[in-house]
Amino acid sequence: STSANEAAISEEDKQKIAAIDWLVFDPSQRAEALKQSNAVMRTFLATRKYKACREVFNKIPSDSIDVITKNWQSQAGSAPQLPEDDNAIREYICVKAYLDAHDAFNDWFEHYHNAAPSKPTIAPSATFQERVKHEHEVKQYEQEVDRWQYSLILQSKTVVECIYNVLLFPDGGWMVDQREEEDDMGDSGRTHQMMLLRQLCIPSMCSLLHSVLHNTKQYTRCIQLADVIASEEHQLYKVFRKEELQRLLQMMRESSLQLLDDNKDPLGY
Amino acid sequence: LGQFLDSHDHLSWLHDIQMNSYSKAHDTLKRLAFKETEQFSRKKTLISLSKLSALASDEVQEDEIQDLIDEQILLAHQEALPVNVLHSLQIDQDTMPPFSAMNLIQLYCSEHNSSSNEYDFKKSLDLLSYVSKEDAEYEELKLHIWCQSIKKDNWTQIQGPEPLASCEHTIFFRTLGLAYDQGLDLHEYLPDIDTLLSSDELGDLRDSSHFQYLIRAGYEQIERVVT
Repeated sequence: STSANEAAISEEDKQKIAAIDWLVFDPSQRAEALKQSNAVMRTFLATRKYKACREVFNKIPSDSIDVITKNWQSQAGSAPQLPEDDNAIREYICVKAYLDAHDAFNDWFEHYHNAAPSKPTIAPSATFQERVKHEHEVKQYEQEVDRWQYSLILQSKTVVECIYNVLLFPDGGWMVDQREEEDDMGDSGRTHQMMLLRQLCIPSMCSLLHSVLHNTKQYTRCIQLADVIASEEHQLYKVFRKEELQRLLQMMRESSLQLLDDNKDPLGY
Repeated sequence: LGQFLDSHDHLSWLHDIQMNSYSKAHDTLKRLAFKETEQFSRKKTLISLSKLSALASDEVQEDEIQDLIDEQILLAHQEALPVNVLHSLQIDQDTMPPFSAMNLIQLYCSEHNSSSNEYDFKKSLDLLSYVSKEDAEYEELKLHIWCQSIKKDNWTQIQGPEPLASCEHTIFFRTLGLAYDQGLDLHEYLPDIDTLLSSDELGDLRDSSHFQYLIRAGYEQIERVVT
């Protein structure tokens, strides 16, 4: 199992996932299919069923944005796309950014915890031959540690980038519509769900980001995460509950103590 | 331990957070931030941490958070300084100190900001709200901003049958337009016309009756729109 507590997929979920095949079958209905798929993915994200969400995502053909744009152009010429179609496309990209960040974190977590090479051991009563063999094993182990650390750095970079893609999602933020829909769709539930997803996912992304940075000893960047969350430009702090902010500050305090241990000031200077 | 740490602000907030005293941590971090004169990025992070502590606490008042937001906006103005201004003054973005609003106005309006436009001058006017009106430099800075905006254009070349229409393209009038559109109180932010036209900063322009005529006509127009 992975760290980011994955919930199990039920029979009903499997049916929902299978139904996506039918939705995307007819390219002329792709806009509608994308909206329906988004709705299903929202429910999966809200219940922490990331694998199920990824399965739905993978069933949406990757050329869908193109298909939707072309369908619209053949129907309406050069008129601007409907707000609800634009919003659905943006939401789909938001989901992709989140799933990518999640997968990157799981890869990193797997590598960090399970792929670490284990140190060879030797009994005090070992024979000469065993000692020679052991020395050889230790050298090999050291090389493996180097390799492991190198790829840990690379994976950390990827996951940090992916998480920032969510946190700093351009033009208003992750899961925030850019265009106002005429509210004749009876779909105000969608906006509410997206807001709840922000409240659920953004604090958890921040805490995953902190754990990657902290575990790879990038303590200064741990503290500077405060700048990102407190910024007026992105206003991420608004989706945090008090208790979540308290937990975050506790985590930053841990990083700060590490900096003090390294003879730096609490912010890493 | 708490008592010992009280005299060590730079560490005590860590203790406060551990003790769940978020409003105390907010206070200390804020004090540290306002004392910080060496490192821009350190000041920024202290403000951020202070704000998060305030939001994590049950006691901190709205206006205390607003103080921090105002400070963040000031810091954001510094972060947005054009690269060429920093370059020409050999300021390293990674190690620069926090600048005062007054310094920032000077930088935004300076000749080093060769590509400055109405947005830079409007920013300078916004920054003026960080300077106390009782400050001796307040009126001087206000005058400085407008004089510098005037000096961006070559006024003696504005001729033709409708010189007033041509004026609309000058940085001075574009700044005025932008300030008006964004709801700035022009009575407050525009200097008295005679003070402006007799300012030393304008140099030879002061003696040009053509220039004087254009600015006076422009002022009259604004007067009509504003009142």
